[in-house]
Amino acid sequence: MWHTEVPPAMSFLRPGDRLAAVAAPAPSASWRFSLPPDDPCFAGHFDGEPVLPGIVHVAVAMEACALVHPSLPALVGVEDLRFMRPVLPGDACQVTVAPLAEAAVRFEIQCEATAASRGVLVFAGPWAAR
Amino acid sequence: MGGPVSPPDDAVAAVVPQTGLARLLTTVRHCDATSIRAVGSIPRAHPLVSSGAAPAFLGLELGAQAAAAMAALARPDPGRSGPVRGRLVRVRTARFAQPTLPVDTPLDVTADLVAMSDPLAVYRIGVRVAGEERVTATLSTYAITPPVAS
Repeated sequence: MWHTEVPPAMSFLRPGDRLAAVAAPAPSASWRFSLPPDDPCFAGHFDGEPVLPGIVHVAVAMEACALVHPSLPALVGVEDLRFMRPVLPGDACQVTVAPLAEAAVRFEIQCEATAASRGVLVFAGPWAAR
Repeated sequence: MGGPVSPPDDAVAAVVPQTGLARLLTTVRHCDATSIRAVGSIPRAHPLVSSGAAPAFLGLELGAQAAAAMAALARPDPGRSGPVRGRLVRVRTARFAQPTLPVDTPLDVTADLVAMSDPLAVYRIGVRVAGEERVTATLSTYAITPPVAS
């Protein structure tokens, strides 16, 4: 998904929320985002105590990668993905993606200025920040 | 838990904390203290489904739900029941054989306990479609709430 043939089901990021590019130590791209309590991703996860599912962290990172590289290769793996802090409805978040290798992207989601998750997405082909 | 269990379909609701579209596990076929074999399905209305297909990384959620079901079914205290709410804390390595998973289709889900130091547990999970392995991963969970007393 998020590869060339299939568009994402949901959009979490708005172009106007892209932050200024950082060139060092590696070219990266960042967006601010926040998901409201009625976002369907919170439904049922969990009743009365909504927490953003871990897979949605991956979906947000994938969308960031696709915004940088519209002809995104297929995702073939995830490496060393860690969840440090739950993301709750309304939290002020930021996702950053940066190339790690030709076909690998490191991402981090910060939430209320602390790291919520970070990991590496591995693609079937090259990805390059622009 | 004394031995393997094969709860009826509706019992999944009692051992998986997710509800509605978020609950992907549908049937537990077998569960013992160290492994679970289950069936799941991704509903077409799931928020991450697009153009009739789901991203393969949704398989990680299927595996996490299977692990949660095993934690609830295999808990050592038979006087407690209900879901064990946990948090996915790490995906060490995941591999996706194809970029998508089919929706509204039975998916065979396995989770094998690799290591445990309560409340942390490490599982090897797998998702198959019609016998074909589509997702494999090693993931860690953290139990954040004690089992609910019945």
